[in-house]
Amino acid sequence: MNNARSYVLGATNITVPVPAQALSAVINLDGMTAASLVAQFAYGSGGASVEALVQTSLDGVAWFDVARFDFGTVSATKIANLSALTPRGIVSAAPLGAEGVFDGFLGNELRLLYTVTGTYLNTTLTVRAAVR
Amino acid sequence: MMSDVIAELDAALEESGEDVVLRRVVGTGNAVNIDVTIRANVRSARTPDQLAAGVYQDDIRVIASPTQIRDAQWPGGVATRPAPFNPDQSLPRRGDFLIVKGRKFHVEVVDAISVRGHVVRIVMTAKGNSAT
Repeated sequence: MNNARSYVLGATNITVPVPAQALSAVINLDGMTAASLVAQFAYGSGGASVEALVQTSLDGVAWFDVARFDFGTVSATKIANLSALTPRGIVSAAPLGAEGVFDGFLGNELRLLYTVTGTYLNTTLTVRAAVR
Repeated sequence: MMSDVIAELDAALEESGEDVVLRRVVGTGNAVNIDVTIRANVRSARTPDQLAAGVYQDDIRVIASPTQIRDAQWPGGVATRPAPFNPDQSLPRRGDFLIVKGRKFHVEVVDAISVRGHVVRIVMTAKGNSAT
């Protein structure tokens, strides 16, 4: 691929409850065959849960879940690796469950969609993707 | 052509510039640094017209290209706001930092120069009163 490098899918201060906030997408990832994902949750205090959903798209309109990281009230760093070369039969597109991945499917865009329940203080979420 | 203007600046910066780090800090407690290395021309803000009120000898004036920022899609995914209050988050802004030769400067003023609606040059004034 032409633009292989590490990208920030999102780095955000977690404070008030957020119902499914999609961030702007990292684009022009044509030829992407793999994505290594790192989700870093730096916990301060308060809050209940944070769901960080990495999604991919082929057109920038329809988005599909490919990895989901779940956090609560403790700092954590979680990783996942996705390959577009993994054979994948026909399945229906469906939301991912907790800590789920959908391997074998990568479009040319990635984005982060996150959901917050509870009110956090001094807490940040960062999700990076190294694509190649 | 807008691309020619940027290419000329990139060539000049390659020859007479240096690599500096542009940093945006997200969060307060548990803050996260979002960095991108950019090519820039760094000079002291010392000419009479640049030594205006509030600008001191240890401040720097930095001329940078948007090329590296665009390539890295810095600062990554961000929450978009409804128009017309939806500023381009990829433009440096007051509160960002520059790390030049290992020294941190606070970005104070940013002038993003556009040609035909596209940013072709970024001029920043940054304060160098930090020992770090």
